[in-house]
Amino acid sequence: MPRWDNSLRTQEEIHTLKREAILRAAGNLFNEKGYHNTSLEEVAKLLQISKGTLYNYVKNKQEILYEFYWRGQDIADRSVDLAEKSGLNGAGKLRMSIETYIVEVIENLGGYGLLAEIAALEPGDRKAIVERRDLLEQRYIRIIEEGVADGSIREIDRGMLLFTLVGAVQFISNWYSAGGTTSEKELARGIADLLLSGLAAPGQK
Amino acid sequence: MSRWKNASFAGRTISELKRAAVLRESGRLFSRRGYHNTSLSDVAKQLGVSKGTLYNYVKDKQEILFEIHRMALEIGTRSLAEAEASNENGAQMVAAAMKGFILSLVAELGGYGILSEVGALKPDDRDQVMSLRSNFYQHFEALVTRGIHDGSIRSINPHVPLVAFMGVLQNLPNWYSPKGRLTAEEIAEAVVEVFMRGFALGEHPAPPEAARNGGAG
Repeated sequence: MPRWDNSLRTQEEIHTLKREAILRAAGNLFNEKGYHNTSLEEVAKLLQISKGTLYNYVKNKQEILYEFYWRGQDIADRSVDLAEKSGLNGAGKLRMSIETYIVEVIENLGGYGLLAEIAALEPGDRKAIVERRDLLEQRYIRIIEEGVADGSIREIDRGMLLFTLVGAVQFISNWYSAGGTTSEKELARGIADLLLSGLAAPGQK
Repeated sequence: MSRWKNASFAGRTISELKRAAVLRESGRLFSRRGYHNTSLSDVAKQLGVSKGTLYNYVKDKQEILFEIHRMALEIGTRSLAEAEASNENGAQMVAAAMKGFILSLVAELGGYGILSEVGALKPDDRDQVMSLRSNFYQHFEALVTRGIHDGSIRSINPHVPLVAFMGVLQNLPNWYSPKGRLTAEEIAEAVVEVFMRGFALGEHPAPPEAARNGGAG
């Protein structure tokens, strides 16, 4: 029945919109006070809804955390997809993927997608995230290999390179002074430029 | 004074050494499992002592968290001060500070200790940590700015290397282990080299002469 279908879709849309509002509010509070110091009651209070209403949209706090991690991984994968299709050399691809990732995470997840709360996830969820993260790491390594082969990235211990990149990028939201004078985009460009210049082969930019 | 009370090693009393061991082990567990997923019983078990014994050295978990934050930031502040006393150019000072920070963090806290969990601190402790952190930030950025002025660092926003470096430090426990493939020295040198090259080259390169002086390797 068309009319029923349409109204159903609308209901779903409303549900999605409300759920998004809850995630956004939770993310803001997690950022401000830390994941463990935020209760769902506070999230409900911020949105002026009851805790019971909130439970129509999310199961528990861990589900919200998982959602942030999952979306963070989606963004990372998309950033690498984009870089792989760019036709740039290895260094160019690495730069593009890092820059895109930082900007998108901060814009879409308020920086929260980067938080290091992986230990708080439920075991099954944690396993799923770690698996995705390992796959992503392999994709980064392939880009790095490509850069070394095409001469745009200097010979450097792959493990060291990943260690430096992952640390610098993954933990940005913990150390970035929000409300300071540096904009998110500037930070993303700056970090990508600093690290990629640090990894560039001699004679390359 | 009894000999027991005077017992010391390298100028530190036994009690101080034991407290340091408690802090180090706690830092390791906090980094691995997260602060909230670690109990004092876990720490005691790892050290092979009773929880009661542990309480001779620390008051509670929050005190440990505060102490680790404080020690790590003190190591950072000390590394900056030592680097600044060297009279080198700005890039070399930042390099020395980074290296000193990594090596001291490994030596004194086993490489653990750069924790982002500040929300769990008691309000007064949190204020103190945030104020130490903000001093460290200002000092670090001032050294970078000095390098920009003396031409050893290209024109960059000083907040950028700071945020990148803090992330690298926080990631250290995932990479460094005493039995690992790379020594702390090797890790420190490689990290510093990436930053130094990044300081010299890029969108607004430093003059070639300064870049050579500032660049590692």
